[in-house]
Amino acid sequence: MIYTNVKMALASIRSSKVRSALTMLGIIIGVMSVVVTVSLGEGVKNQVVKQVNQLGSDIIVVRPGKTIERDANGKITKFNVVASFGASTITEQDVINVKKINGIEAVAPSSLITAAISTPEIENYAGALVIATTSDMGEILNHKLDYGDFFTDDTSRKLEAIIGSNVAASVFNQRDPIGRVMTLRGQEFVVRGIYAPFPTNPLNVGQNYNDAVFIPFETGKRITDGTTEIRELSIKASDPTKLDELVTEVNKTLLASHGGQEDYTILKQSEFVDATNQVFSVLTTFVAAIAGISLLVGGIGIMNIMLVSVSERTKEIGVRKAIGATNKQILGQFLIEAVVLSAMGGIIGVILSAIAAYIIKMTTELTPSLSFKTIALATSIAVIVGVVFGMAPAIKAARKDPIQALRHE
Amino acid sequence: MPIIELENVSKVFGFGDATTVALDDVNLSVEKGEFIAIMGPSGSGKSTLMNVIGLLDRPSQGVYKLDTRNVSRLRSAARAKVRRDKIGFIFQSFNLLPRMTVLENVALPLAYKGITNVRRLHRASEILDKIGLKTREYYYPRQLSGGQLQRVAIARALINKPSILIADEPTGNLDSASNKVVMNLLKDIHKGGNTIIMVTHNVELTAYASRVVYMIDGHIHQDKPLRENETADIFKLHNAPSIDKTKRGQKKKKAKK
Repeated sequence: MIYTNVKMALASIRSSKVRSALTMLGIIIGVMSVVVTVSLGEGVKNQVVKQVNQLGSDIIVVRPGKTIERDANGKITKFNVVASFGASTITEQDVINVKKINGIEAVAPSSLITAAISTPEIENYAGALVIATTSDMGEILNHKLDYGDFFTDDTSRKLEAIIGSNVAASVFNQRDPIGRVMTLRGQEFVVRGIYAPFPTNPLNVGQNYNDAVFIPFETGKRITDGTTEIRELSIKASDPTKLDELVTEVNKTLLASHGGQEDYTILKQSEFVDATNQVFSVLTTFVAAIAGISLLVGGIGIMNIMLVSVSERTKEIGVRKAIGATNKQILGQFLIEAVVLSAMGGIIGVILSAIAAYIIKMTTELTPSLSFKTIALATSIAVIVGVVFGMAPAIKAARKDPIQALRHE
Repeated sequence: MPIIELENVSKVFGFGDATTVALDDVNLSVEKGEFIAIMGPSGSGKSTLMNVIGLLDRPSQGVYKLDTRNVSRLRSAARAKVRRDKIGFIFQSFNLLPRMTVLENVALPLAYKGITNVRRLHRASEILDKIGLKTREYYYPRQLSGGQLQRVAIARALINKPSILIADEPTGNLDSASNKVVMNLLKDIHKGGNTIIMVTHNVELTAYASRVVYMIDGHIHQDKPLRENETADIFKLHNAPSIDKTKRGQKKKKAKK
């Protein structure tokens, strides 16, 4: 019976192609906007997770200022980004103290140095992030260098630089400027290594090391006359499974040397992921809900068309009832017709959003991820819309009096 | 045992001053194998009688027994099933569904019985073969002539092997040639043992019937058997005294008291 109804529904959709297409359009747009927004959100989330994870799940970061508040379970409840812009209270002594903690493999302080870069190719390039750090950073980043290597403890006072792939392209206009010279704050630095590109995401949560220039920590201090502050302490644990214990230890050590004042923030890499996930889930849900409104409008379109169709086919309903269709069978027929209409819209919407996702991927930095879950969700929403909005017309059809309906012309 | 038995059946429409009595205390008994022509002027209640017999409508009062089963108080779903299994309708305007092929149209009643598609179409094809329209199976209704359409409609009415066929002006939209073809088909079906109830204005058609029921003002005015090929005399029928006048007269007297 269902098969017959589906067949009849398809026949009736075919017989009024333009009208059916216009009706479906609402559902198509609705499904498309839901699927595209959700997959964009998922895609960005995946990229952020990938970028953060690339640094490793065994990394703890200490930043100046109390930028977050936590509840009793250690869950982040509040962000206060402004707090991180205050004067840094992290000292070199902290680095030494933290290094003494058991279970730590590497600790690297990072100072940001404001400097424009000059090379024969370009004057005063300001797009680079100049980071003064120690040799431990190489270990912490644990990323492949395309050319050269990271500086060692022995060279910590030298004028050497390790650069990201974007910097190499921007200031030297070449991929392997090993041994070339760049001028920073009047000092000439020799390029010692070039990093392979780091994965990025369109939102750039955290730093984009492709734009970074790493110089030795002591050198950095010298060229700024010791005015730089440590903006970040990157700590690598030797055992990633004991990260929480390590956080507690680091906190204890820092509290002691800061006179009991928590004027810093300790973050695990996983917390970056959690935070972005949280923000993105809210955002994606919100946008998807707005997109859902177009599904609602599409549903109303279906209801409208089905009501028209029921009036137009009053005679048909009368005939069907006369030859033995029960009210339930008539209801089923029109309901299935509405569902077929909306499901077709849903499927077309999914196909179009796959195409849209592909185009977005090709033309922008965003990589939408179209999951089976999203597709199943969108299609089932379309079907539900069909059932909900097809119900009223179907009931109207089922309740028609056969005698009146047969008389209808 | 009569196949149709109406006992004191009335049908009233509307309320208060707008009340219309469409059927007034009708008693009718039809044996299996009869071919009844229901005649009468417009508004005499022919259609209502047909709708009640065809279970499209419920009597306001009285008992209707179809195949000895009392069906007068059935609910809509049960009535639909009785229509499906025991009654075949033939309409003046054929009422085939334009979007379906001839074969699908004929097979449609079986769909509501839950028979599989293949078996449905097979049965429909058999019936179409019997009435000589097998070559038109995959045509759409708009591609057929009126006479052919009505024959397809008759095939659809027959597919469930109904106890009674109800025909409402079956030749009202047909030319005289098609008229003859369709009526001869109905005659054949009647000869095969089927019970047919036909509502018509056309006196000529009573030649095919075995009995004529003439209605006036919602009651059966005359009810006469017909010999083979005998045409009813409508004047005589109309001017004859009502067969249940006495009863109605009594009623009126009661009302006066």
